[in-house]
Amino acid sequence: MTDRQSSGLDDVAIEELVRRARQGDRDAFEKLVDEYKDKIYNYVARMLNDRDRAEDVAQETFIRAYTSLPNFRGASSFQTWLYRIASNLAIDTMRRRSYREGEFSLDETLQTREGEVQRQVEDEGPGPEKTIQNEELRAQIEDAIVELSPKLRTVIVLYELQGLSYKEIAEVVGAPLGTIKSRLFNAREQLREILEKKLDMPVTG
Amino acid sequence: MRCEDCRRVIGTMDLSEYERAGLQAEVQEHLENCPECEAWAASTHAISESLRSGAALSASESFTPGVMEGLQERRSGVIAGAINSWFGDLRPVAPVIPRAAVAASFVAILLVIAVFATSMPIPGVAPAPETAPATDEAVVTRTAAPAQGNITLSVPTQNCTLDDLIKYHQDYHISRPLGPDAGMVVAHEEKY
Repeated sequence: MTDRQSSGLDDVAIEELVRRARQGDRDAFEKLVDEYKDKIYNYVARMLNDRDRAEDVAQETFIRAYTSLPNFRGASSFQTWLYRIASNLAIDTMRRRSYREGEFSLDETLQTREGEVQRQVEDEGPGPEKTIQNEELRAQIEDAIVELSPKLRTVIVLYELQGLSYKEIAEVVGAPLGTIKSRLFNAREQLREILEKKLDMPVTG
Repeated sequence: MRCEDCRRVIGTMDLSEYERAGLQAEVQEHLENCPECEAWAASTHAISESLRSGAALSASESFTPGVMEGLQERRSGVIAGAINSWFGDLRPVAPVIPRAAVAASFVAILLVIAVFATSMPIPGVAPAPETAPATDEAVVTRTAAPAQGNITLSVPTQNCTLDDLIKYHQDYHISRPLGPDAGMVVAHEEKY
């Protein structure tokens, strides 16, 4: 699978910039920021569903990356490493936000007669529409993503929106490949359930 | 193929993956004969396609300059943090005077005081006694200027025997044995 926002520099050029940035070359690091800023911003914005906050968190991602560059050993790609930092910051931000707002934990599950299920937020939007245009469906899906737990949200955004492979997602999240596949499956299932509840009709193409 | 297996394959594998696994024909056959799974697969596909069709968001023009400024501020913050940790919660005297300047002035004043204090003799106070090489057994202190080459050493007798003194202070000639009173006369710089 290819990245949705393709890179302008090849791997060799990236490695050279990383090497120079590790030695304290700020110009090299600035080029790396330019190279990855859209990907990281897009990812964080989808995770948080808040574009203003996303800019701050994405910038903080790069600042953390620069200060942690001496620890970057190149075991994974620089991009994967950046996504890992962004992912941790985005999840921290989500948790702090729900704590400040007195909300429930996004990871919290509900105990029902059918067993333990992921918590879903009740829809307060307009009633179901008879015809769903693709653009409207996409907007509904983006809203629905916010209702997923951080773990499920991370994998579906990285896979569907950022275009990372299962293997890359496994490196970002630090979980086995099988776990990533399982989370992706669950994320899709929950998205479908949320959407069908919102739209009061099955989701079709 | 069971419905559960079919959905698991579609939901967890890339198309190329289940093609490689030789499951494509089996999945296709199941979908053709199972309207529920066919609808399920269609909605999964619709969700994926909708997500992927969305325009990617782009960072603002000020993004990169913001990061570089953030790095600079973080660096200044580290220095200020270190200064704060040395001097406590130091407040700037005025908003126009940076915290670092206040701390630097404070250090300079302390240095000047220290230099004057060490170089100026204090009237009426005798110079501090010069300390002879210390041992782990006893402390030997030169208490006064030597008279005709002899000096008096004040020896803490409770911690030091004559043997100890010979053993550890062979540069001093002991002119009389240790007595109950502190102090003894030795010839300076002579081997025992």
